[in-house]
Amino acid sequence: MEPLNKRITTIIKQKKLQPKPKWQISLVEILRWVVFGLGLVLSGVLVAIIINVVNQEEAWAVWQMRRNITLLISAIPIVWILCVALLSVLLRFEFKHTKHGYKITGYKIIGIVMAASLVLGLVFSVFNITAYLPALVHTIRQPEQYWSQPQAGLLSGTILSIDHQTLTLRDWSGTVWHINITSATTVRGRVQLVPNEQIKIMGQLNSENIFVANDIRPWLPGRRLVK
Amino acid sequence: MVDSAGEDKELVRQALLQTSAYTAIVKKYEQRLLRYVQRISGLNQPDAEDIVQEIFIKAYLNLNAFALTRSFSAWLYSIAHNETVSFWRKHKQRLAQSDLNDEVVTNLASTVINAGQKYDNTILKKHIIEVLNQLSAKYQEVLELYYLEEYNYEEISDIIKKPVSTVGTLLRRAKQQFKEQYIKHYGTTK
Repeated sequence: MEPLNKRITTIIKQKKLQPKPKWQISLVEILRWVVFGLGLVLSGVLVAIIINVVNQEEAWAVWQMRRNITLLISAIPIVWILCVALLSVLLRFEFKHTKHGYKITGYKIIGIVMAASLVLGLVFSVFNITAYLPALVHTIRQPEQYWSQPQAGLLSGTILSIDHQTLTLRDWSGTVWHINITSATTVRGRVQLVPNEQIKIMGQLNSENIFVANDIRPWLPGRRLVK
Repeated sequence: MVDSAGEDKELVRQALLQTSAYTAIVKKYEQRLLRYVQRISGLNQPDAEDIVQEIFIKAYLNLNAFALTRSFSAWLYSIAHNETVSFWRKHKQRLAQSDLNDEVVTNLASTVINAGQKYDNTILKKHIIEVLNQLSAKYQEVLELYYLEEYNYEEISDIIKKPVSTVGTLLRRAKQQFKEQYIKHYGTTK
């Protein structure tokens, strides 16, 4: 039988094999880093969405008034958090396949990815990048869902009309509500109470489709986490 | 690892210029790789030769991926590791271990189970092979790379593509398991 080294040399010569060019090897490595970088940017965008959702929900303000743990838990943007976690795991595998990726433990990579995503997310929030991605942001209508719990005292939607102490509001599902405004109702700074304005209301459900407002807030987030 | 690093790098440079120079690399490593593949896979000579052939072809095709700042033999062994693991995954079987040389037996006996000179080497060798066969593949491989191939932690990390800290943990657990299994089957070593 032919010695192994001769067999190998014969195969190389017969099949005219050549080492892959350096540029091809470098290109694969560069592409891996590009995919990793893009994944990191996407993760940052997701974190920015989480910040945006948290800002818009104002769950802490609701907690201070209602002290309702179920309500507080329902404010957690769990789907977005799971997306970030899943993306971190995927990026861990992508990083592992880079040339020296195996030198860092999986947990460290996930930690680094999450920390980088957080920093990027804060930067994206400062520049309000989520405003340019309405389709992505509204994939999951988390703030709308959170502020559509009239039994728990939370309601939101668009003002249809206003008449003295009553305003008519259409919620996100299309239901029309009559909102009673009393002298005890707090109307927050940017709220103008004009038709077509989007607002959120904390109060009590009085009877079917009638809601007493305690606190009226603007629908759009105040961005106080980043400002 | 006693690695003629400079010589290897020169051989790689030449092989990139002319195919015939690659034969020198194959000649230098074929027997070592064959033993390594046989030990971690338990394959017979012809099957192991087929894997080694694939290893050298793959190494040749990816020669430009080898960083001259690293150890060539560790790089070659990393390809061997991947090829053997993928063979093992395809076939999902592990055959009987092949033989160990006296040097490994002495090394394992003195450093892991403190057997010293008390045992007849032939019996000790038989016992060590039996115990090694009971360890999982990942533990066997790090013991092989450390005690037989004499690679350091960093080189083993390059070969099995795990962080250095993980190599340390694997090696510590492998030694621990080896010792426990040895004591379980053959009594105390003290």
